Amino acid sequence: MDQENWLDTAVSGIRFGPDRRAVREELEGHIEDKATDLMRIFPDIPDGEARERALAGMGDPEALKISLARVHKPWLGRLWVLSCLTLVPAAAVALVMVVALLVSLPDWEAREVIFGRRDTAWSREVLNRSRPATPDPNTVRVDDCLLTMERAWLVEGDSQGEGDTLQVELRLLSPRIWVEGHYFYTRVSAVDSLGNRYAAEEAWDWINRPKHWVSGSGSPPARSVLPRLFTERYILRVGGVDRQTEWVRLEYDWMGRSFSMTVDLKEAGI
Amino acid sequence: MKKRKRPRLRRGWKVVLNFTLAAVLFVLFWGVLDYPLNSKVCNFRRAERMDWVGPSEIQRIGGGHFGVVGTYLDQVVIQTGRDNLDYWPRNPDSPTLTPLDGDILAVDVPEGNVRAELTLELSFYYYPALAGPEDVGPTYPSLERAAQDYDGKYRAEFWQNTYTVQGECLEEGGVIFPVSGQAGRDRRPLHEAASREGYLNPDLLWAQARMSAVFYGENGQELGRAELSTPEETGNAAG
Repeated sequence: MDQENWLDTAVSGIRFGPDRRAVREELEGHIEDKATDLMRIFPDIPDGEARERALAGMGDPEALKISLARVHKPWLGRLWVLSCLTLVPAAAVALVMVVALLVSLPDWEAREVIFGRRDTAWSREVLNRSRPATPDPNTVRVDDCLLTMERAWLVEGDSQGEGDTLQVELRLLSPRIWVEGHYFYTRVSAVDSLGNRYAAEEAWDWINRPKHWVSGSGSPPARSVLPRLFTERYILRVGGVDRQTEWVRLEYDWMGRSFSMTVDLKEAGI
Repeated sequence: MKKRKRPRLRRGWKVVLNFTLAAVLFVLFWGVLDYPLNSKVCNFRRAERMDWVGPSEIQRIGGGHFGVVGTYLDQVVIQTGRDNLDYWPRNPDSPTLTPLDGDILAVDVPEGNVRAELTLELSFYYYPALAGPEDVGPTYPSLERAAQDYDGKYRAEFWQNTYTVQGECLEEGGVIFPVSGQAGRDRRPLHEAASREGYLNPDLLWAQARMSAVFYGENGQELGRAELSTPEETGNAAG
């Protein structure tokens, strides 16, 4: 049996083509190495004989065929090819998303400025007029979602008669990867210790804003390129808070779902 | 110094790693597209959960990408976009006529209904001088409103028409009345009479409409009625 036939027989049990070719190349390399060794040990031996002896030393190709077929399972090879084919387009899409994210970064920064976390003259000025209030420590459940009040602070009004603004940061945890209850903040109203009622955002517009109002926003940084996963943060602003107010209670009651959360303002004491 | 060989992952682990990475990337990409689901009902249910509503009883699965309508507590829940729901007051003890941008959908239709008929009376003021051969031009629900725009310049005239529209019983339970398909020159005001805006905000009202739907059983007996009028006539959003 010549070398080519020996190799073909030995690898013929491997059904996954790329594996078959790789193993064939590897076996061919072994034969070459053996033949080279023989020629180094016996310098007078002709090339053909050295190859024949090396081949004979490789053993029975039929027996090798059975062992190789057992080791190289075709389904695993095909699965591997499939996984590569799946990963390549996914990686390409990811690359596009990363580029889009980088392009959208200025917008992201703008949003951070609005939330007062960036060190700008405006945010410093707002922070100078702010005092931390005591957020409601309780977590409320609405459907499958958990809503937690993370922070609250009272911002002193910058014009006469406007009243102060209470800002509350809420975190919503959803059991599904898309955030449920995403638009709840438009229906949140409030009441305070002085009996004032604050209108929910859906009940008023900015042209005819009432004296006591609630407004909110989600915090989707670069939402167009990054999905919301399980959690979302919201900022609620309660406007027109009088100085004598001791607490403000946020209230939600719509379509059979309701909750309330109270912010204690005694600590804030502007 | 002998170079240490980097440990290589076995093929099985490579497959697991590849598929895991692809799954993570797929979820991120799906999220960027706002998690579209495979059916209109699934998308409607997701929109409901995002608005903390429902689950509604589905009354209509409309054409296009969205347009599912359901009922929940005292509201008719109308899907107007992937995540957007609109609401319309639901009558507690009778079917509710819901304007759907050119069509009227009756929900909570009596059981055993096989045929339904809608009678719609449309009236408005318009200026013949500004009307075209295919359109009546600007329309107004009252003479006072017409006078605000062209006071004394043109002469406003009254237009009135009555339409009878046969309902199409839907598998999901609602009955749809294709109102705007009936129109001629008054296509636009008729379309507006079948849109929610004018009922919810009288400033956006361009015509007066009064409609009444009658639902019939198999033997032709009347099973129920539903009525809806524009606000200036009843003083309420929904009749």
